[in-house]
Amino acid sequence: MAEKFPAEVIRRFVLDTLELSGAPYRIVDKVIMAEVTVEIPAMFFDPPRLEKQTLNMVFTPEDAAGYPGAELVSWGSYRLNWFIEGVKKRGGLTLQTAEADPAAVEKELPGLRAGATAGPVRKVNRPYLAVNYVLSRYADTLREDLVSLGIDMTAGEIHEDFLAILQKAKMTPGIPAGEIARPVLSPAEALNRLHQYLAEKILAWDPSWREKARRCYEEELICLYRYYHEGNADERRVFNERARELYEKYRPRVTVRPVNLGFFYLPEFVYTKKDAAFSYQPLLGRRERVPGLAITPRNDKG
Amino acid sequence: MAGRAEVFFSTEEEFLPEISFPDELRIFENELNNEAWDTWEAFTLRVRAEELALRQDFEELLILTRLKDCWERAGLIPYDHQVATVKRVIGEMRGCAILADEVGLGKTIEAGMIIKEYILRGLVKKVLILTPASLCRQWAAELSQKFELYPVIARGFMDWDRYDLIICSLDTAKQPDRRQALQRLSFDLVVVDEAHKLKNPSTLNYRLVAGLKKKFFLLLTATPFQNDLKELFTLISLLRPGQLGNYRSFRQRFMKEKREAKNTGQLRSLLREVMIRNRRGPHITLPPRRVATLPLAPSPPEREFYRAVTDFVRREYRRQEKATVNPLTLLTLQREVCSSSFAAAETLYRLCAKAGESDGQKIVSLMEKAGRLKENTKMNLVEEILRQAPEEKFLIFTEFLATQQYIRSRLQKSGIPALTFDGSMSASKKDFTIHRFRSDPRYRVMICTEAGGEGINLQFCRSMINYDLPWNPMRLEQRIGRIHRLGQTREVYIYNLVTEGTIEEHLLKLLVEKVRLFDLVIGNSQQIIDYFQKNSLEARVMKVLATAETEQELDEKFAALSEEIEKELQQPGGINLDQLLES
Repeated sequence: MAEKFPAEVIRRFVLDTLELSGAPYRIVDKVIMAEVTVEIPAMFFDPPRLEKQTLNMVFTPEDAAGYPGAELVSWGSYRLNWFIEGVKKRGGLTLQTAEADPAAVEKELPGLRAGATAGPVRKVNRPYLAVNYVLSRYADTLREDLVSLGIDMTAGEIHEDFLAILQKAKMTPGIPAGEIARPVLSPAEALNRLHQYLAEKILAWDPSWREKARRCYEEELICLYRYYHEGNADERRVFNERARELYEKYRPRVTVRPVNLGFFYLPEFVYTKKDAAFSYQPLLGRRERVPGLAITPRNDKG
Repeated sequence: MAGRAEVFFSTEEEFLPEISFPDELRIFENELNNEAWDTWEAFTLRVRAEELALRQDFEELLILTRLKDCWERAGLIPYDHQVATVKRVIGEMRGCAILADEVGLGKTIEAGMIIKEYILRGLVKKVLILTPASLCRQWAAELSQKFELYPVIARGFMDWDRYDLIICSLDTAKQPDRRQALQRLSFDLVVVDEAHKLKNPSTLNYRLVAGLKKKFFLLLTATPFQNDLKELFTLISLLRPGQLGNYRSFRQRFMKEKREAKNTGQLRSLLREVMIRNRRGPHITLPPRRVATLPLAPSPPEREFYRAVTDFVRREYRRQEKATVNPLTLLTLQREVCSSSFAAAETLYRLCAKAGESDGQKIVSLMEKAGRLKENTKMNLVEEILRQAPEEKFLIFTEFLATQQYIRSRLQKSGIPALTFDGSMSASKKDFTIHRFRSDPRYRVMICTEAGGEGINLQFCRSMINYDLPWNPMRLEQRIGRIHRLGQTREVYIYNLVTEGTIEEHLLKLLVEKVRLFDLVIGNSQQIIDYFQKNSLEARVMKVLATAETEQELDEKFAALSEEIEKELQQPGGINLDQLLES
């Protein structure tokens, strides 16, 4: 796991966290010196007493050796966790208008305009609901995965890795000034569809994790049986209780936890070509025919 | 139940994952209602934070990085054998194991590591730790100082459901009302310390623990069984019923007789699946012990008092049923007179109050002799030792409160402030006293009575003085175990003070030369522990003392006893765990 998060990733995360929190910091050679406000002690006082503290942080063991007294911030360390817990208080909800790379759009537009047979090429902002989820699969072990989904509120299409798509865009907070496509789904309906999608996805996972749990469970049952199989009615009852406990230990469960929710408007260029509506979505990198898609030129809240 | 083989098989459906979905709109209700839109940077950073915090089924232990700073502060070094134990318990053993390390190798630390690791991995939330009452606070202190876990110690009635990490004494937990409350709950992890108290399936202790609902389960004991294979069967079956079959099949397959195993190869591999026993050896070592035996000549009045009391004890002891004094009291008196006149005076005073006319006279004369003794020669030696090592902290052990008081006041007069530690102190006072001894440089000396000897860890100190000797060798080992245990980084010094011409002199010789008690590191010789648990040394010493007419006879009889014990110790005992586990 540590190698999945090399020192540079951790360092970047810490710097971005300091930026976000507005805490003053300096970088002196390999050390980040930051002045942060901490709650002391977090357990006893409500509200806790706030105190300024200076953190001297390094990110590799070599640097830690070079700077005695500096704190090594690595994956799993107390300090990194402290930052992580702090960040979890932020970024739960956002509303952004996304813009694709203007250069790329500029390159495509002349072609679209040339192809359009009726009317101009219109820019429309299409509303999406983005949800990042942590999926935890439990048996007697636990594995967690992060899944980023985006659903088109006008058509219900679902995109995986949606955050990666969004990261290609330039964001402006708030609702776009221009034309907005009318959403067909309510947020509740959209979330419902995401749940259906996740349920299918989870069932389609490589089943080896639950097969292993099932194998372990059966092994435990056989063992238990060896102890109780000659028993009387009372022991049969105990056997059944124990078996239930074992099932509780090994049965597979998945919990879905939302990390954050975002409403995004993604740019789309629509035009008519020989009586058919076409759409170019630069962030999704696709151009397609959209039969029967109703595009109402109205400003509408997402 | 035979013929119901279908119970072994689960259905496909039972192992389809149960998925629970959140209600996102309620989770984010406040933000949505207030239109509390955060920035794009915060939104993405939040996802990165979650990504860094994802819990996975790692090979490596999370505690090693997460608790690094905490362990540096607490002075805890995770030993290789401990880390390996944690990995095995969580990996191969699926969280159910008997931790049977030898005393002093840190079973509690291993258990703490496992608890914390499971919590960090997100697999455990609700934990119950059952320990003897005397160790509750120590568990709580260890967990908070070394693992950043903050347990609640359960005492009277409480809302068990409210707390996730509970420490409870077995005695408290087995009260009917509490037992019912506990057995209604489902624990993710149950830990039982000193689990050899569960060797008998008909006891309340056993039934309580067997009836707890739990996913992961740790039993801690250095002595999973003593000589009786049934005890071993019981304990293993408590952990994982069926691991050794049922008792009928276990007897058939593995028991030649009560104390003798057969098919040991098979038994060994079954035991190893559920039990980890780390022992001292080439990979796990402690710093050496240096033992100095310091004989000293008593002053003539001390010698006279000793003789007078010993004569009295001998006479009374021989009168057997006709004796007015209880033989146990006589034993105590004899031990006291070896410690100091002050200790003996207390018992004499009590005897005097109860005695009849003729006995009363004898006792009064003994008391007068005791009253004339204002000092104890041993103290001169103690002060000398303290003078020679002015930087060292010292533990002084005595069996008796009166001796403890005397040592303390003598040291006070010499300008050496000393702390006292005894069984009558409240738990918080004990904690505070140890804390003071550790951190306050003014206090170089702590005087402990035997009651203070169990369960406390004083590795920061490495010198101890045995002002008197306990007659039970295991108690002596326990004293040494306070400072000579894992975590001790320096050589350990043990000073034994022995007054010449007393029974203690013989006793020490026996322990040093025949039992080789000071050479061995406890647990290294389970056999010796077992031996003295079955054969009380006190009673045999007392018998020798009482039957010997002259000094010479005493010498001879003691020599004979020593030979006897040496021979008995060399005899192959019954079945022994280490033999069972070793290939």
